[in-house]
Amino acid sequence: MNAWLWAAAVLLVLPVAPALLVSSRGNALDRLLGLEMLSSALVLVLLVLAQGYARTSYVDVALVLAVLSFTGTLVFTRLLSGRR
Amino acid sequence: MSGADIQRLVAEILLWAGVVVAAGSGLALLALRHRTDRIHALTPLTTLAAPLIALSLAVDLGHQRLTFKVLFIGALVALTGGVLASATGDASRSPGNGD
Repeated sequence: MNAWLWAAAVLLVLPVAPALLVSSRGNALDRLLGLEMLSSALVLVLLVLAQGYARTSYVDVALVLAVLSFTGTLVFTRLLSGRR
Repeated sequence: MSGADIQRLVAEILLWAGVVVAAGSGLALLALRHRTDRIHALTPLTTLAAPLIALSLAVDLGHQRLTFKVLFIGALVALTGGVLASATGDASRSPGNGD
């Protein structure tokens, strides 16, 4: 296991696991905060895994996730703020 | 110490700095209870850890096309993270979304 894979493992345990926990309990805005951290952390995990496994296609997945999570979270915040 | 060794050392230092910031951010999200504090716990991950990890990948990859894509993703996460934190804070001030 190289340093990139160890880093991916640490990222999966520390930011991803707490984000999963927060996104599964509390009210809607607290869950949204967990979702924001989960998506950002998963972008980083995908980038690090791409280098660890030498698979450049994972970088494209990270790019798509970064763009989609931004727009998705903005839609959620707009819905939760009550504005149409 | 050769140039490649120094390149790898710098990449690993940047990588682990980013991982430590991300880990602290995740632990802070769990430890803090107030929503405003949680928003502040989220931002180091996006504005600091993401650019650090993207930079570490860029240093390790060297000068190639993939490097620019990785740096773009790091910049995208850093820029959109602040926007999202601001939008979430704005939504939490709306009636019915109080703590």
